[in-house]
Amino acid sequence: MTAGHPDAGRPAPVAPPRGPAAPLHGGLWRRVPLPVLLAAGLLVLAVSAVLAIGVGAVAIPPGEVAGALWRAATGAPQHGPDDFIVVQLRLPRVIEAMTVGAGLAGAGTIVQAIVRNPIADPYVLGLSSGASLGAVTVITTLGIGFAGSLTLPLAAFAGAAGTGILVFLLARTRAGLAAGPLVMTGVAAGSLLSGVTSFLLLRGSADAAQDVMFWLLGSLSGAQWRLAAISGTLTGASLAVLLLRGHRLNILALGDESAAALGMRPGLARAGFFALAALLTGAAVSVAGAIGFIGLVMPNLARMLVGADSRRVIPFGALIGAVILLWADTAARTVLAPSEVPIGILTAFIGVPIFIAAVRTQPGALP
Amino acid sequence: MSGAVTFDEVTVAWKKTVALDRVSLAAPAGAFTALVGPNGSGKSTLLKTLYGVARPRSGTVSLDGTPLHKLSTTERARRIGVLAQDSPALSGYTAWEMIALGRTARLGPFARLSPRDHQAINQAIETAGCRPYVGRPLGTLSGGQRQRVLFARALAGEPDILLLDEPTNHLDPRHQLDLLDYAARCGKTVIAALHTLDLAAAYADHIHVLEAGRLAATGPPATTLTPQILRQVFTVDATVINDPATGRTRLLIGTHSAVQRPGNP
Repeated sequence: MTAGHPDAGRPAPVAPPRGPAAPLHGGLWRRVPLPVLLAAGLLVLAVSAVLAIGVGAVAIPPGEVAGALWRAATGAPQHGPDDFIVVQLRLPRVIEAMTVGAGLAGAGTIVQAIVRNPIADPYVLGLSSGASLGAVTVITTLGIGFAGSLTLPLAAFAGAAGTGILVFLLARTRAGLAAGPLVMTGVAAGSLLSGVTSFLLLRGSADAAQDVMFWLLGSLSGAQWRLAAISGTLTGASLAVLLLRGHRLNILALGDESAAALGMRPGLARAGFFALAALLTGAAVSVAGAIGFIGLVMPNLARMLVGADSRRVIPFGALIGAVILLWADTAARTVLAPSEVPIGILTAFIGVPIFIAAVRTQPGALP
Repeated sequence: MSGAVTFDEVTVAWKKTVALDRVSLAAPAGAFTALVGPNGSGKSTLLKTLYGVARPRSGTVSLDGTPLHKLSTTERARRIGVLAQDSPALSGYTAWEMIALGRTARLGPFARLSPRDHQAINQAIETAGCRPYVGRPLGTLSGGQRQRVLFARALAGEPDILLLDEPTNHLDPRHQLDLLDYAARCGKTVIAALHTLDLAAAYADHIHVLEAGRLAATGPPATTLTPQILRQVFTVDATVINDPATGRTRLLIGTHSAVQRPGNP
């Protein structure tokens, strides 16, 4: 169809053609190769982790922190109390923060693609309401310590997983999961479960209500190595699977007709991605409570910066989610020390200005 | 030559609404077959049964004699390229990224594009005339430019069958003619649902006229796009002309009942 076109004579760029030197309408770093982006992101994350570990009631200089981490990694003998603070007290919390941030960003990327809506997040599908109900049921009936220190995480994870299964069973059709029924069922299930949570809260004691409120707004104050290892492994494995399936997520985001035309079974693929989103959300909310904002905003921020290709959005979104949640948690445990501020409040304080700035400078990258 | 499509007594229904009623037809390999018919007559449904969105309740759709349901979804997508009517979400993809998705069924597990894939994508971009705006996000393109991007995506997979559902939607006259000219000459099996009857007459080798889910007429333009059939199926008056330059049938639609204006007898 080039005949007669005024631009027909323009020279073609050499492969790999990301397009001619047209003005960039979206994706500030769209042309930056992914390895470069990831290397830079990992560097920022590593520096952030070392700095964040040093912050606290006992301030530890970054050099000392790095030394302590090195000794722990190589198995060298520890140097006094600072090593204990770094490795046993602050490192698990930092790992949990990074894990939760990365996991929620990954889950958000999935949900926005499978329901084809950029303002969807993992909570739209009822997953966090289920986790909250699981946690609140345990807090108001059995007590926080019923099954040891993992009681609350286990209850929350069971709640999220149970809700995921329920929503899947209610929303599925003969061809698998369709976007419309999925989001409608998820929203409805979330409302119902929130209602039950509120009811339990009203019936419970004032102490239980305080515990519940703190949990609902999100906190990593219960960080411990065992939990960090479990949720880190689960999140890492889920993100790896997601990354390998990123191309299919791109296609699913086009809609079911296009996906079928390109050789995919959209109903089946959506069900698989939904399971992955439920795993990631369950792993995140079970350690940190219902932290909002990350799952909604990180995928959009990543798209504005690196373009819409899921294979770039997934790893980059996970990295910025990890960095932002790490700093939000550092602020949560320091601004009102020795008391803690719920982290959900701080993710909004830190993330919203960054997000608004991105929306204002990169409007063309928005869907 | 491969790419022959046959429908044998195919019925497609959504709940109780019958969209295709025992339709039998053939689209010969390498030929341009046009589907015409009023809105809701089953043209899109017929195309959808070929790319897996609609499933026949009874009857068989075959590709070179093989029943379609025996092919894997990937194999089917390799052989059949689709320009569908649904406008994809304004997902933030650039035109180039959207066109590259057309290679999906030919990629390995990690979906990396080889030089061969880039070559096919470039060829599709040239054929569809998308080069000037290939780096821009879809959301910044006009409807016609987006339509050409989707045409390029259908070509990028190098299928031997092209399904085009209202391919001239949003296109200016130059690009309508270019697209249909390509469809008529590309050597692939082309099945296109068209509303512009005159263009169907001018370009297609075979015409299937659908009416309420059934086949009303089938054959070359000269025997299917007759005033009688157009009157019966579309309830329009038409004048048939033989284009002396090409020897092909051309149509003037609505000439008898056009509003008579004073001074324009």
